[in-house]
Amino acid sequence: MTPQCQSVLEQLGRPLSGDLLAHAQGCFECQQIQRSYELLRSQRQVAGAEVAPPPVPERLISEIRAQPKTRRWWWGPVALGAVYSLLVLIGVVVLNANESIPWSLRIAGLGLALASLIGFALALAPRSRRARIALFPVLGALLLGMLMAAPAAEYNDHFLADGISCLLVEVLTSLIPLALGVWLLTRTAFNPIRSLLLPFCAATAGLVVLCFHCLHGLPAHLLVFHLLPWLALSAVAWLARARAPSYSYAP
Amino acid sequence: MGGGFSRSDASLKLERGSLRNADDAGVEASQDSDESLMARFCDGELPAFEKLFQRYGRPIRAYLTRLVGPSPAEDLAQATFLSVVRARGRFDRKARFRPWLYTIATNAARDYFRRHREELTADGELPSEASDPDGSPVSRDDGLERAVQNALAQLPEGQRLAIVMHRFQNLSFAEIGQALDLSESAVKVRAHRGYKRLRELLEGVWKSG
Repeated sequence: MTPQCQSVLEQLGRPLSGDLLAHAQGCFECQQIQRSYELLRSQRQVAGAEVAPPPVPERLISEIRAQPKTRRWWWGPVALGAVYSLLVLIGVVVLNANESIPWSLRIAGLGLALASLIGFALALAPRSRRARIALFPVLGALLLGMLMAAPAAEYNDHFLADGISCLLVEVLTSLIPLALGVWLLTRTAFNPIRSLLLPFCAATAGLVVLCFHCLHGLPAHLLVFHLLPWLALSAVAWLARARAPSYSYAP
Repeated sequence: MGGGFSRSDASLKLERGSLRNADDAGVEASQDSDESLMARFCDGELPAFEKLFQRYGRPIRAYLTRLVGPSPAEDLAQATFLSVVRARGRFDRKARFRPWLYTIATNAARDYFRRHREELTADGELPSEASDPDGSPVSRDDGLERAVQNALAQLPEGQRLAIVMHRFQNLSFAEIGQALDLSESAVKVRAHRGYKRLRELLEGVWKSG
């Protein structure tokens, strides 16, 4: 599409003048486009019958009367962030942060928490599609950093018992932020990227707590009892949002 | 001298009056813009919403009829305005209202088809309904109508939405870009390809016309 073709496209339905008219007369593509536009006119004339404006349905009026004021969009991520931070804090305090945890792992945990808080805002903001997509590799890098920072450990007889306790911490800490996140997602139109980013971020609550508590650096332990539950919880939340009805179709 | 003064004073007053009237008209026009009506509605004014509904009730219904057919369009149009009411806190007061409204209507149509998956195309896209937007019997050239509708139905969703919004709803390419969360140039490319494809699909109609 040349710049002149683009100008012809912009002027569709309006008379062309001078150079643009000369271009359109000699350009096969522009003639095709003008012809298609004209053919669609027949459709429009049938559709364009003017009728008196419709009255506002009673359902809409009663909805407005029920909610004369509305909250701005940012109250959702703020509330979710507050619940998430509180649960992480409770988890770290209740489980007694392990003194032997390396600082690199704590920093990775804090980074993950910070990225998740940003993720809540991006997932629930009316726009910011690009920033939303850009957060996925950041989350991936932080998770990788968390795995790398975990202290080296050898296989022991308590593999399953230790793993189950980590699994419980992961699930119990993440459930409330996930449920709240899914509910907030239903307030807008279903969007696959939003609906993936928010559960990914909300389910890190348990991972962050474990960054301050779990000394098991065995890759199998980290994959099976830390990362797998995080992925499973996120997938379940995504499915729940996909199936739930939307309260509104706003972006 | 004095008479001259009073004449010029009177004419000045008249000019000021006309200016004031022009200003008032401008203020009134700006107060009646979609964005200002939406801002007033967000502040709790019901009449502002009524004006928006009267302005866009029919166009949105016609748009949805083109996407989903006449019977679900009525409900979806109401769901679109219900979403405007419920999600008015998500409206960015610096943004244009019309693209936002069309985004909501498009989302409502997508949701409808997501819940009626059997009606989606093999690529998971919105099918196009071969029906008259008013749901009334077609009164003009029935064959042409049907051929054009069928051709529209064969376009990929991105191209069809760009053409329907541009040709039938009179949205500018910039507005369509905002509604579909695309750049203006991306919308132009889609519309260009769509119109070109339509022309190929309507080869026979062109020849007979």
